Amino acid sequence: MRHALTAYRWELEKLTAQWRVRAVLGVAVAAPWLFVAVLRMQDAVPADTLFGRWVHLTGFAAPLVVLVFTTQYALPLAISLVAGDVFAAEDRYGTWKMLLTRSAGRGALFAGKALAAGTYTVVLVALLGLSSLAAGVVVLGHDPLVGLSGTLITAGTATGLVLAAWASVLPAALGFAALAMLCSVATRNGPAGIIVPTLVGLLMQLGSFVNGVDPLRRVLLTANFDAWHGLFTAHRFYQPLVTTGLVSATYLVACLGIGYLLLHRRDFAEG
Amino acid sequence: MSGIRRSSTRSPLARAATRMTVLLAGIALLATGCGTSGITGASLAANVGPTFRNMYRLQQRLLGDADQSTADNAWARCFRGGAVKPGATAVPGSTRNSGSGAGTGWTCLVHWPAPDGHTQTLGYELSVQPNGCYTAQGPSGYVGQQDIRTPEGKTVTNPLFEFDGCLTI
Repeated sequence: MRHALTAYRWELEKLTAQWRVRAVLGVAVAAPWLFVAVLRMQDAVPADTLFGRWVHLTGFAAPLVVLVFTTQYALPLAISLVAGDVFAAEDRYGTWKMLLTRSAGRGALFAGKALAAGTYTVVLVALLGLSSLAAGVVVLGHDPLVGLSGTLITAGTATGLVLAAWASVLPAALGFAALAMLCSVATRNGPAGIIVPTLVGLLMQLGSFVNGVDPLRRVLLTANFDAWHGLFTAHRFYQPLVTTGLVSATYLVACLGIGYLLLHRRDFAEG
Repeated sequence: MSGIRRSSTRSPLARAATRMTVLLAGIALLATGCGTSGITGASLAANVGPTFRNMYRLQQRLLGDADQSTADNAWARCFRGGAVKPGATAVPGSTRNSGSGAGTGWTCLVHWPAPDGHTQTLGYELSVQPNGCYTAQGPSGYVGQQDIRTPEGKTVTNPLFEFDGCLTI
């Protein structure tokens, strides 16, 4: 346990020193402000996105539009950029043997790296959510939000619901982080660890648009990205949050478990 | 001997993968079996009617109109296929809820008692996504253009021109 915490601290230090990590987190803070500024300047609205129609009426619509956009395309990539490289980096620099001569065992190293990638994922989602909410409210105002049943949601409730919606995508975000770590351990190759989970995310997203495969659609990791809709209807429903949360937890546990087995069984003596 | 050893070293991975598949299949069955209503004409009608009422109130509010009573009795009938001209006037109750599944080609007739007493029927065209969210587009000749101007001179989206909703599925 103590070794795992030490490994976690090392990993965090390594991550915060990387320009790539700083760049992604910087973009996560800045991009929503840019997006909201562009919305403010033009008359057109992103009407094909849920809540896109109301961006000029209230600032609470903007963070939800950003949520839809990022979960559709960008989030799996931004997560894999770090989680997909966290193990493969040791292969690139040839540092595994040196790491394993330390007193920390493979289990502690694995735990430290997994925790660090998880921390990055949570921080990334939190920064995106808070930044887009702040940008929306500051630039576009805090009038009541038009909910998905047409009822008006007061500013206080809307703030809570927007934050809850952003928090609700954390299970799938962590699931993608675990998938990226598994790819990172399995391929021992950074670019593969980044590209494979991103492609899987896009394929799942495409799969969720296909009709008639309902049971299959429910076991996709990306189903969790849509589960928050029930928070914004007049009669709220929570069942999708529960089922997709369970599915995401299954991905998380399975990917981490298989990843750990692979690392545990790897023969470092042969190179 | 070596064959036995190899199979024993591979089995934990295979076991983990099998467990994951079984677990996901279980959750899928559970989620499907949990009595979800799905996308049907009836579930759409139950959602579009009240949403239209709320959108009508919102439109009146945006236009600065204090009288918001007339849409309170609006109700909808939804069916798939069938060429109903947007804005066509049909006899209330002449159509029944029918059809199921995501996709385009849904029509919802919103029956709306107008202030003068007769019932106006508005044909909304719906496109429903597999996740249960839909976009309803109204007949612009009856509900107005995409943008409306508030008394304060602000241009906002007309809530009745097009609106979104999400079903419990």
